[in-house]
Amino acid sequence: MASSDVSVDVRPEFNSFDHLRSIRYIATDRPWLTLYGIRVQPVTPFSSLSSRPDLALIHQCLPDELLFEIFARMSPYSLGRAACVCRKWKYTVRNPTLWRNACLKTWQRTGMEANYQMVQSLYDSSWRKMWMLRPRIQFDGISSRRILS
Amino acid sequence: MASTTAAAEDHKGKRPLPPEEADEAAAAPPPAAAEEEGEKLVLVSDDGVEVLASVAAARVSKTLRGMIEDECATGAIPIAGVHSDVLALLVEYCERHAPHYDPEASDRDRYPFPPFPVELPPTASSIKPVTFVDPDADPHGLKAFDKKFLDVDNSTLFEIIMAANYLNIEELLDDACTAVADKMRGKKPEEIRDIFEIENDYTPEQEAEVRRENAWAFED
Repeated sequence: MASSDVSVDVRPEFNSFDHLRSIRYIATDRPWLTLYGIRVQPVTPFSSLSSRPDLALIHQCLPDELLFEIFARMSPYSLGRAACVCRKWKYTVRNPTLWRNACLKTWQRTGMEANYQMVQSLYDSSWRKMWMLRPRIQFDGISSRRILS
Repeated sequence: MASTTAAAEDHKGKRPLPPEEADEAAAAPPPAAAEEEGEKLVLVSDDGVEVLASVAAARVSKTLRGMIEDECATGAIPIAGVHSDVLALLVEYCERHAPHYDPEASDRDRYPFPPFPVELPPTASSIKPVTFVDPDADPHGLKAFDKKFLDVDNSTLFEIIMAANYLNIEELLDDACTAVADKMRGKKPEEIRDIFEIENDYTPEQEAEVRRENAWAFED
């Protein structure tokens, strides 16, 4: 008795979901339904332009955190050159921590607080921009020259 | 005065030690330290090879030191992801550094010159006499050992970095990362690609643009 009260007739076409591809709802197209079942390969931002895997041993062995540790021990000039090596390195070198350390070391006589105020007010809070645009004295062992980028 | 009488009381009824025995007694390490020297830990590499390391050497690794202090270092300790050849190298490094390793040494001691000036209060107590430390001094021969230790091919060097990071051996990680960084010093991007066998994935237009962005780096 109770079972007959709750029994509902289900139309046969609703037993499977195949009808969702063809059915048209009230004056509304749902074109995205045709995308079901299609496998889309995700694109990694740093991968090679070709579909081949990255063969560089340094990328296979070391995660990004350890690559950063290596870059943290390089001079800013070496970092600028490293950015030209490949796309992955370009994005890793953009890490603001690397440029903050470079700026605080280069202009340490200014004082840390003054450097922080300067980067916020003059260089849009970008340490890399500060390194590239702020005049600095470069010592090459023979003479000192003022670099204006 | 009281101390001399106490010493006399302590010595009463005992045969005075001859000078040779007295020297030996002074030189002998305390029993706990001697026991630690003799005790060995079994480290199992990723490929199942057992490598023995003294407790003193294991303490150079912060990961293993934590296990020893928590009394978890009983039996074989698996070192995941570290090949036996590299693990043997790391144990050799730790054994060499163990006698001169100071676990309490802070970053301030290791890097005496911070990247920015430290503001000190202008009081007489803060002014300390400056003692010149020769940066090339190597009384224990550790610098020479480290230089030779890290003079390996890129593959081994990367594995050493991974293992030093996993076992948390700060000094080795620092030195190994510096060794990789030194290989790039003063090199052009093409030379760096050759050294590390990196594929240039820039299009010619992208490469020209990134070169233009970083033109200042080539003025050095």
